[in-house]
Amino acid sequence: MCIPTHLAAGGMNSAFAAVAIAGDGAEFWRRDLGYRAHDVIADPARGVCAIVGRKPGPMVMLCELGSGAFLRGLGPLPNCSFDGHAVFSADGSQLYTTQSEGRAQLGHIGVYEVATGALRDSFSTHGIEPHELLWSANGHDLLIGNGGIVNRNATDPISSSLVRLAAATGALRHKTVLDEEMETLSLRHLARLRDGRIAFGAQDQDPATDLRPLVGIMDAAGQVVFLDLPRDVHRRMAGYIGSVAVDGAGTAICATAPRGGLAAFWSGDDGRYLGMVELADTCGVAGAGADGEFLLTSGHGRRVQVRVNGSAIAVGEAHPADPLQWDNHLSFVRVGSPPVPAHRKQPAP
Amino acid sequence: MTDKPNDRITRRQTLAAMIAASMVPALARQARAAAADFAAFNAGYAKDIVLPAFTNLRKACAAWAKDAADLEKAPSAAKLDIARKGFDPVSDAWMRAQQFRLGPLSEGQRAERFAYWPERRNVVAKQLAMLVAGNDPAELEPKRLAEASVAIQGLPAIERLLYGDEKAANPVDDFFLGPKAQRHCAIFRAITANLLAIAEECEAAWTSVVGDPAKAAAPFAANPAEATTQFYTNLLTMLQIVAEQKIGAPLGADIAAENPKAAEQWRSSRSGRNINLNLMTARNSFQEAGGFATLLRPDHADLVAEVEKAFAAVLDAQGVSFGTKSPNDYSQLLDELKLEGVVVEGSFPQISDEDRRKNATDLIVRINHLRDLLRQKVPPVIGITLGFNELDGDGS
Repeated sequence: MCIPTHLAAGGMNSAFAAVAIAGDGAEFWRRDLGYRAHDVIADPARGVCAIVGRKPGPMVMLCELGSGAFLRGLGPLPNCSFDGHAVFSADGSQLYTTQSEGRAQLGHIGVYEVATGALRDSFSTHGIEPHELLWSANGHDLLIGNGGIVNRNATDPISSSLVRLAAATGALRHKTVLDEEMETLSLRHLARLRDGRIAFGAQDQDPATDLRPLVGIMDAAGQVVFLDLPRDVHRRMAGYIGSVAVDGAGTAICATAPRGGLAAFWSGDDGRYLGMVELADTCGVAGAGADGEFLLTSGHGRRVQVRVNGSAIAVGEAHPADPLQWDNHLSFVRVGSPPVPAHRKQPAP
Repeated sequence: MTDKPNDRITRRQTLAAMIAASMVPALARQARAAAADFAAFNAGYAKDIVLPAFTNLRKACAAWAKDAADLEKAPSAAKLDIARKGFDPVSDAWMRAQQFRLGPLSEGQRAERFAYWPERRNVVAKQLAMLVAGNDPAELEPKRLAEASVAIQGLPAIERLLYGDEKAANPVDDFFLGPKAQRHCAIFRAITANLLAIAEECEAAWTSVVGDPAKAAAPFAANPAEATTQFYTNLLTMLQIVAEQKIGAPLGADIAAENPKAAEQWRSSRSGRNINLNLMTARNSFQEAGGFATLLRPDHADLVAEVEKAFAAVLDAQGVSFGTKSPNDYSQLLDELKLEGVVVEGSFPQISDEDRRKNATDLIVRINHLRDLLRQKVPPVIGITLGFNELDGDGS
């Protein structure tokens, strides 16, 4: 089957599109959109992709992965809008979406049947303003970053959390809330390491008053450790992580900092900082299949391949600038891999 | 010549290659011309727009620091009257400088140290209470203060001291002339000295840029195009801050959600004046000598006129005074700015009825129209691309 390797949202002046990229870097297809999309994700086994509206998202579009052809559209729950992220169930039959309700931004998961677009279920995220979500290592639970921001421009306290829910029932398994000195961190982006732990990236709503950590790992018990990085790199991030990804091996972590114009890398096994790559306005990042490989995208139309090997970070030949601006997220179309590989547990850092 | 598919592909590729090859010199010429334009623009913008703003800021800060130092030497009601008057000219100058974040202002947290705002978690009050309660003069030494919490280093802290705090134990006069006068005046002196140091550092950095043609071509950037892009992004960010934080946050989604204390400098009744000064600075950075319009003229006079019209609509928004004496008369406001220490009656928090809400909403709409124009129409003509991800978060 002929399918793309990466999916992303992009923009050009005031027009928006979803774009599929082939393994050789060529554009595979492009679909113009009437709304700004955020994450575009694939279910390669069934040849479907979902183009998720950027918060406050009016819709999710289900399309053919191989052509971008429209299949059907999904609308939000009553008084809700989409929050930009979704995941397919392992069998591809359902799509789980994060949504926020009303002014209080109460978080919900809306579950839709992929074949018909029908709403099948909905349950609370046990938090406010949910953002990215992903499957737990055992495939039964959803991990969700409740961003906790009601209004980005207000100085209200925020109420962020990382929660784990049973996907079948919506039952809360655990909820991690940060200590008071970290209460301005909005936990928004997630990526799963091969041992099942979750790497996450935060956005600090008050970066001026302290240099709070921005990237960490949560273990199965909900315990959080933050990852170190050099102070000058940390400062440049301006309290803002845009996206988090792991490589094909599930051991290297990348977090992008568009306001700092850089992407930083860590070893997931021992939490060691590996280095960083400069790229103005970079936000999208995804694994690129092979161990240690990542692809970065930027708002200036750049695509840059990065290979992490031990502490050596090599930047591949830059792709010529694309005539569009890459939006927040890039996703890798992971072919043939079950969503939940069983791996031995790694020693905690 | 055969018509086999392979041949057609080969012919087409050859043709494409020929066209591409013929375009290379033209593109290179175009790129060189654009680079020269950006370099000349950057030098002019730094000299005519940016540096004067920081010189103005340094002068206002220098006068204030001197008055605060005089007060500390021999606290008196007369000297306090003089020293407290420095708040307005320095705040005015800051409103006209804060747009220019590229370079020194964004390095070393200088912008946040000068004016940490919006304030979250009441951190200024908490940090300031500790500073006021303390006795250690070493805390107030320039190096120590410069490395302390941003919350106590700048204008928001001093505004609380000069204009009172709802939780303050004593009135402002008692505070500076009462039993702990020495400590309190020392805090005043230390913060104004800190502001002066920040302003001096910014002015020095931009003076060095303006005096060196190589630096002036691409200030604080890898190349001229990047510097122009950053200057321009600073303009858009300023308009975003005005619309979303300075007007939108206190206004709230409806009357029930109004939050007047989310307005900037509400204690000193400067919220509206600050908005005016920010917007006029934004306009000047576009249409005054050295501004962005020079990158569009003379070939795009229509677009320049369209942007100028949108700026005029913003500055002429009916009934939106936010505290200026004359709601709609910006020429009078410009005159007022030439006066030292003008204190303006009224303030933003008085938005309390639907008419005022409508006026403020109307201003936001006008600013957003201007932002759309500046984001979508101008960059392709100038030849820059704006970042897509650094300006906005991952949703709103």
